[in-house]
Amino acid sequence: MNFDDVKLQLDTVLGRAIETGVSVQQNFPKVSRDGGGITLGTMAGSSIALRNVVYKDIYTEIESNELFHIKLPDGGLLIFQYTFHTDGVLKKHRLGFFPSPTLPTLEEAPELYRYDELYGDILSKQIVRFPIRFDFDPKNYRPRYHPHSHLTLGQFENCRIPVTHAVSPNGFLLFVLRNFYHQLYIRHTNVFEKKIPLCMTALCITANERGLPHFGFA
Amino acid sequence: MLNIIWGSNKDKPEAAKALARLLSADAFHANGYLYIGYPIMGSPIGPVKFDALLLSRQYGLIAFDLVEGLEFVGFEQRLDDIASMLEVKLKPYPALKEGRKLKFEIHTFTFAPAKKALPDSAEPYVLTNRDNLLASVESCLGLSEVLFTNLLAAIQVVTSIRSGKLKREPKNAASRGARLKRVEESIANLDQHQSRAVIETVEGVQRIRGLAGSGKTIVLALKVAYLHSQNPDWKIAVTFNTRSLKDQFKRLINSFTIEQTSTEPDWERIDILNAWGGPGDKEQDGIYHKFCRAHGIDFLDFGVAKGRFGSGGAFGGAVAEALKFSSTINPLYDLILIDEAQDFPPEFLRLCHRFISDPKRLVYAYDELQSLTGNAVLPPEELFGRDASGKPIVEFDYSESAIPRQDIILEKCYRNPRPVLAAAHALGFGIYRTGGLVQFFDQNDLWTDVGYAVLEGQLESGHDVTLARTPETSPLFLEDHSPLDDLLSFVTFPDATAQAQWLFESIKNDIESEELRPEDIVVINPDPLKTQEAVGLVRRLLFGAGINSEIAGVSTSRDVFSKDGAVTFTGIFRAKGNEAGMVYVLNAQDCYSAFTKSQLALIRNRLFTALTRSKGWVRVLGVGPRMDDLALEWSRLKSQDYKLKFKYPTEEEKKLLRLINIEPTAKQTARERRLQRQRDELLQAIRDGDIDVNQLLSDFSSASKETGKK
Repeated sequence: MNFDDVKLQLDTVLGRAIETGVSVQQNFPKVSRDGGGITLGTMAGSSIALRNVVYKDIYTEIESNELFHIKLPDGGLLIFQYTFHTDGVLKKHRLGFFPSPTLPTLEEAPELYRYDELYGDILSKQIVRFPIRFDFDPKNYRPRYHPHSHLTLGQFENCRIPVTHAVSPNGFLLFVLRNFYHQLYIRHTNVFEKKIPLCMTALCITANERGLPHFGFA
Repeated sequence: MLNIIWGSNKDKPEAAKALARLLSADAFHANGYLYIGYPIMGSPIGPVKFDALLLSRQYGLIAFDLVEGLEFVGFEQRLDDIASMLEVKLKPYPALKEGRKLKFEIHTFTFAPAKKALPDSAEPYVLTNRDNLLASVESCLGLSEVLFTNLLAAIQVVTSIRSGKLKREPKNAASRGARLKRVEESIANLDQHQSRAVIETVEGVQRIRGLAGSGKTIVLALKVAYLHSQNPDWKIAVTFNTRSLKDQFKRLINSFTIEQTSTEPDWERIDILNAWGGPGDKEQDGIYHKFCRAHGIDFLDFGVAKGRFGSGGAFGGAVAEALKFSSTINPLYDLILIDEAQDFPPEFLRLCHRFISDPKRLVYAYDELQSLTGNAVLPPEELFGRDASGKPIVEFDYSESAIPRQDIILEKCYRNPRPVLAAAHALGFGIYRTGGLVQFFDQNDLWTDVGYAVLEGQLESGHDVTLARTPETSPLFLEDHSPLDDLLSFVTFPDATAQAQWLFESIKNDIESEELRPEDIVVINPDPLKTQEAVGLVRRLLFGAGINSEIAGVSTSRDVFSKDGAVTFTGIFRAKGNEAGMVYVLNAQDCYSAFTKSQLALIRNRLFTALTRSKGWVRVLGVGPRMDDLALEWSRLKSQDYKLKFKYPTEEEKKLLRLINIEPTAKQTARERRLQRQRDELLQAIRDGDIDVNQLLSDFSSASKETGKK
């Protein structure tokens, strides 16, 4: 997985998201270079790491400061951030899905979003929402506690479920769509399952971690 | 003639009435304006409120300090204050001064009508009562015509706040960006009709009607700021339909209040609320939810209400249910202002009315042509219902001389160029439609009220009439920046792909060559069900060219058109209440014809709303033969030089047109659709040769004979 591959795939992913209406608002991922390497999807501030903050505040922070790359019709936010060494090799990534803490999901209230019903968001049901993140961070690897690539659910400080590989932009988008936006995925399967420029990546899970419950992600 | 503009002055009602009565007496002649409870100005020591101000050609400018009782101790100090504040307000205007001095005298009178005898007094501290008021006024010097006009303009400036979004720096003076900048700069100030609408305060219900772009929202926001400054103890609510109005109201009320009082508004006393609302934090709250909570009524959310009353009747049903329950009424507000009232069911206005303490001050604003949901707004006598004895709960004094006026019309349109507005009306009413009118104003004089002049013929049933907008009601600066054919055009495409490609290239050109910013451009798709599909291709093409875009919707609801750097794509609901320099209407063929008459009126209203979003240019795009027919209507209008020329409908015809607003039942509509489908299938079968046409014809003729016999 190197810079050029990821950049090419991310652009394709974004284009598809826009074409299908999966993304209703987007911020084009910025590229920044410094002595330490190249970052794709640079964001001012890194509020996604806030742990001791109410989820609603985290969401509002990301949303109002436009620190996301894709906004889904129900307010779900996606962040794609990849950092590479100067030679173009992947150094780390943070991929985040932040569902809206106030709006009903697209699955719960498809008509609201499809027909843009005027009062559709007046729902008294309040459902608990939590963020989902895929992080790749080999620098901080610690056997048993901090896998190279891991999945974090919610704001649990030590939740790091091992993942077999670094996650590509398309892999992440499809994971979110298939699981949380099923109807949208079904409607646009022909677009999302089209061939896409590949981001090959090496296995990074350890033998030890394979013995634990883990995610396979190629 | 002296015009009296009655603002809010609850502290000194008797003195104000006495002043107005004396100055409008036959024996007193003055041409000009008497303002009650206006202006109010911010100063370092707090707001300075003027009790009354008389500005007339004959007697110049006189500011009054009113004394309700007998005690006028400290009047010198008060007169000094108002005189110096007026100087501060007026001196910035170059036309009003010579060197550093104002060209006229500022007179200040204390008026104590209850006082029988007064001590001697002299300028600048003049004491008056009923006996010597007129004589004292008549001793003041008059103004030249020019000075009077300039001074009036300065006094009428309710706000000098200019729109904050003027960041454009065009390089080419002929580009669209540069032209739009000039238009925006010209719109910045309120006119006298608008300022009058802001100030005039009714101790009861007040209605404000006006076209799209006539400034209804600004007037309401200023009204809140003005009345909050005058009556800081009032609990005020502003409510509306489109969520994106919330931020706009908040911003406007905040800056207007700061301007008038030099302090921020007390947000504990002002609620900016959605109509519905729900449990949760303050941001989520709404009038209906508050009403339920205040009266211990079960709150229905959208899901439940929709299940019970259907999608279209959800809100009306929920509110009607709440009105039924509340036997005891706990009024929470002293004043409620309702924007976009055309989109609310009457029940909601009734609920607001009941939620207000006596004397039930309620202001509602609407544009009857903008109803997107098919509700027509009833006259106030019916809108607010009747009491137990059958008497209307609200009755209006419609007379021109009513003071303050209950029924205000803003006839001047500051947004749309005249040809665009005329096209919106022509298409909205179906003036040049092959099948005849689609809908019509009930009252004949509404045409002139909304700013049309009768050029030929008369507004009477059965007569030919020609109507046109005048430079007075549609200012020329809105249109003379571009050739007529550039302001508005219709383009028909063979298919949706060609439409998308053309749109993409046009937007690219707007941004790259014409110096428009992406946020100046809005693309409206009139059919709410199809927006997401309709805009995919264009957005992808724009993305390929590095131009950002967004779909306005539930989750992007802040100020719809305000995201910097993005072209907005929107369905019709989100487009309301907003404006943009360049408006593209996509798939306009969807607005040409419909299955039912009421549906037709609805989609024509959508087209009207879409067109009237533009303060610059409009491109109406569409596909196929129905688009050709729509474009034909437009070319008829164009060949009439954007005048509306038609035969005025008779009472009988109008009655038929009125019926369109009564929705047929769902069953009927379904049946009509089924018949239409069967008819289409039959025709296709005939074309394919599956059916013997002659046999069918003879069946038809015998069937119709049977009907004839019945």
